[in-house]
Amino acid sequence: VPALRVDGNGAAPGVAARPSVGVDDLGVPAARAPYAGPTGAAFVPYGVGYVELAGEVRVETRLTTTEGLRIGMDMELVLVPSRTDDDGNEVVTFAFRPVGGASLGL
Amino acid sequence: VDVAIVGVGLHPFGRFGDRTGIEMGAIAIRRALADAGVEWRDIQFAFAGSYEIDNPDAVVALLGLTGIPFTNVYNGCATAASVLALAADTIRLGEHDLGLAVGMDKHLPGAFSSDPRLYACPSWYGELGHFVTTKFFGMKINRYMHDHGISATTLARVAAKNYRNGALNPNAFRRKPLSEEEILGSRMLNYPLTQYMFCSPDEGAAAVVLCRADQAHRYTDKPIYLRASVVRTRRLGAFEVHSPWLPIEETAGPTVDASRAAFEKAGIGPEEVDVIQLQDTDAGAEIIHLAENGFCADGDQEALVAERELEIGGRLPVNTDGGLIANGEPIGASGLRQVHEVVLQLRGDAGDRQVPGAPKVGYTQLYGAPGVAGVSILSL
Repeated sequence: VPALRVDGNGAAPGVAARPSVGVDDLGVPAARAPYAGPTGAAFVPYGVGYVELAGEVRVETRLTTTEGLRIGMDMELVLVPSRTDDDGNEVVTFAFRPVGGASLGL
Repeated sequence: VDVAIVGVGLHPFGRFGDRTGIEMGAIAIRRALADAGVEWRDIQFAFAGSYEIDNPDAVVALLGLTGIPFTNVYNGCATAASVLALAADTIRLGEHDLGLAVGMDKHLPGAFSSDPRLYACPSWYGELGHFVTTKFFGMKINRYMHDHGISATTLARVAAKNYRNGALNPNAFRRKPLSEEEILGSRMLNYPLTQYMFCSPDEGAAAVVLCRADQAHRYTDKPIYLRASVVRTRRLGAFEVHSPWLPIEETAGPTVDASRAAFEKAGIGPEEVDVIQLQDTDAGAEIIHLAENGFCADGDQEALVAERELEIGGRLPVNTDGGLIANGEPIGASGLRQVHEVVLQLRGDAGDRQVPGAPKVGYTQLYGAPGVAGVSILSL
């Protein structure tokens, strides 16, 4: 996979700390459908960004980390676990991590 | 045919227990009718906006069954702007002389959500956690801050201003001022936006009575003229909510398109506007929208905010009633709440939050998923 750049049309890496939740003062709502990942106490914040496939298209994607991201940094394609389906099978998704991130635990 | 606004009415925004959406709508309508000095039976047509209420025209059960054409509208976060534009166009076409635009909503707490397939997005997009509007606003302002030198402090200052303005507004949802430190220190929801930088879905209603401009003096000695009411949707290349992919070539968003068209129709330039209401879904959106609507260049907001120019007494007063951050967002009503505030400001009736210097031109803007914007320009 060629090196890809985190970039975007006005977009940049962001951290979706709580998907599909309210921003209200009536308690702390949990992540909810259509999100199918772990919710409640098991919820883990995740990185999101637009990655430019050099000169071709920009793809909205999970990022493997929420730390150390910079707009314009080189990224590479990986597969990561997304959720567990009704039969107990692990479902994976595409994601991007900083180039060289594997050695840094990203 | 030109259009004038001769009456405005508001049901406060917030949480109202068992009170239904149409009950709130009826209260807003009665207040607008009283403001215009007309009776319900005088109204010749109506448009109503709502997301949660299937048939907001059912409000006639509380007002009287007069048989008028009454059309329901839903158009995302630009619903209320669409209601206003359709009502105004009905008068511009010469179809009717006196009509009503009303918006009402009653949302549950929590961010808006839906089935991604209804937005032409695949199911996996939602399962992965991408179908989240707040995340879009976080990414958009994060990139904007990087490109144009906007600081997190500026985000907090904008939110603090809107809570401060809300404290002056008896109809606002959030009336407690919050310090910049409290705003920056609240829970990080979607980087770089914290909890108190976001607005909340809530409940409320707003109504406007419109008529042919040449008949306005029958109803009021201070008509407010609707100089433009424009709705636009996204073009390919605009960065919008719920975009699994984007082309490399970038295009201006629908707010820019709606704003330019509205200024051209009105024959008014941004430098002539005295009071501004912008879609502040979050503090970052207000900052970006200030430039997208032509009120400053990208990056100028850092200094404008530091110099307090967006305050009620500043050069560009923005969201004088507290905006969405202090009022929340009942989608159907939100844009008519903006119009209500501009009408009060132009009449000189805005009380504690009156913009000084007798403002003559006002501006409102809505923006939301899946890439729709509405702009209106009003003047004395």
